[in-house]
Amino acid sequence: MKKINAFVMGLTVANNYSFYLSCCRVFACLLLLKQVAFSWQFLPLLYTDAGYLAPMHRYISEFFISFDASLVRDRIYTFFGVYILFLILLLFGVGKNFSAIVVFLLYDITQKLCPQILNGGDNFLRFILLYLAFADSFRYFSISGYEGARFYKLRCLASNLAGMSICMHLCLIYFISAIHKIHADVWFSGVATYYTFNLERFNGTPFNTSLANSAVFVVTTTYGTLLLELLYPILIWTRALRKYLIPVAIILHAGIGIFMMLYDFQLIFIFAQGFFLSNQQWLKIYHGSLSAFSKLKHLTTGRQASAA
Amino acid sequence: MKSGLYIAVFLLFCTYWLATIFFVAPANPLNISADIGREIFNTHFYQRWSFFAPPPTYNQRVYIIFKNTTTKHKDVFEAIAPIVLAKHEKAPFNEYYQKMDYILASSLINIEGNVKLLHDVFASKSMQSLFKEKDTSVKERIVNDIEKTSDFRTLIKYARKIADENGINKNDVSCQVIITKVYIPQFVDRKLQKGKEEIAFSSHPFNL
Repeated sequence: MKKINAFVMGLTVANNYSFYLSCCRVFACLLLLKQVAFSWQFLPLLYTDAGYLAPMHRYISEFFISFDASLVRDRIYTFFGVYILFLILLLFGVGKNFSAIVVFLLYDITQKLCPQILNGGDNFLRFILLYLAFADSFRYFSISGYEGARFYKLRCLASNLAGMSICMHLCLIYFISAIHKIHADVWFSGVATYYTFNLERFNGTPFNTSLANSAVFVVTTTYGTLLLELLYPILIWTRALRKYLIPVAIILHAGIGIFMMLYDFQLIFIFAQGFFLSNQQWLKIYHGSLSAFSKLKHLTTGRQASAA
Repeated sequence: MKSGLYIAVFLLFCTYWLATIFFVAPANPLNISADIGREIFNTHFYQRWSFFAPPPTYNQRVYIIFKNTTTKHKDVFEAIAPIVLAKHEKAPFNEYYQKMDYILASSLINIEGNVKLLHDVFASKSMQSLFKEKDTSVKERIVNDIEKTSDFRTLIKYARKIADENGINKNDVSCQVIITKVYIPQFVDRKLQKGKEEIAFSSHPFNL
């Protein structure tokens, strides 16, 4: 009990994810704004009965509150207007956790209105938004952060648990995916990539078919994926191994993104890898980039002045 | 007092994670028996992580057949190929076709899953005895049940869209939807064989 107490109290000292949680808030808002902007023209097709998509649910249940889906479907552009407003507020840190909670709820409603178009990336993003709703992600890139020592310890605890939850969720996804894959014959016998690369829906490049015909490529990528998904959840917690595992995971996701046209899906998984770098590492990268940027700016203004 | 609050928050976190691991784990005797808990968990925290495990071993086709009721002339359209083609051509800015693809693919996957489920249900002895006296075959009953689903309604609505786009008078034709699977040859036969096509579902002719 004493150990648990010490561990919990340790989590109240500082927000160990303050920088990357802020990055995550900005990333999630920009990604969702991009998705809304690209879907704007066909929102009625996806979320109302007007197009050819027959709605699956008549009622939507949002954490013990159930309401008729037509309330939203009939006012779809108003609903998305409010959604965009809260996304912009959250992007700039206005409204802080209230905006984060509202964005999570509105995003969840969009998912329940049209579950047919969801993939694993959307599912993971929903949980990231849920964790962000509790976290203090307003230390950086925010118009106004939390001030003073009010609830400081509770904010640190909630933020650390949110950061840990994103890391744990990523590990859970890999592990569950891996044990399902082992159970499947095509993964066990090393030919799964052959089938995925031959699926017309996910045929992302003109090279997919020729790559799928190469036994070396098929076996290596099939077992490589399996191995990574099995080992990552265990080895990533060893600090020394992160510098190897994170680039490999990024390569895997970038490959899936390009070869299978699953761009946003993979981008979310690539972004989540950053939670395994410490706040100090991120701040070092951040300040390094800031000083490099200011040097570049200084250099450009100097050249412009001398030219004039 | 405050440390009690922190411990309570931490315990809530642990409970959430224990429940998540318990219900997200593959079906086992423990989580299968926890029906009520699973229902509550899935209502709020639904998640599925078995990506491509296994991957489909076939590509799907949807044939929409319009038959003129007086001339008996048939127009056949395959619905998936044009969407997949546009999705490739517009990549990476293919959001619209990506969504269209997801809509049709999810309808096909659900229809296929329901056909399998209904086959199993009707194959059970209790159901066989129940329907023994009726003359409709199992296949017929499955088609009837599938035609009532929202997934099939999506295909009907899509058929209407195709009819409009191709200048087909909806009052003059009957429409039929046929879903097929084109199997990807086994890896060892990849250079020798072409994929075999098989009907997965065939609807009744219906009016648009």
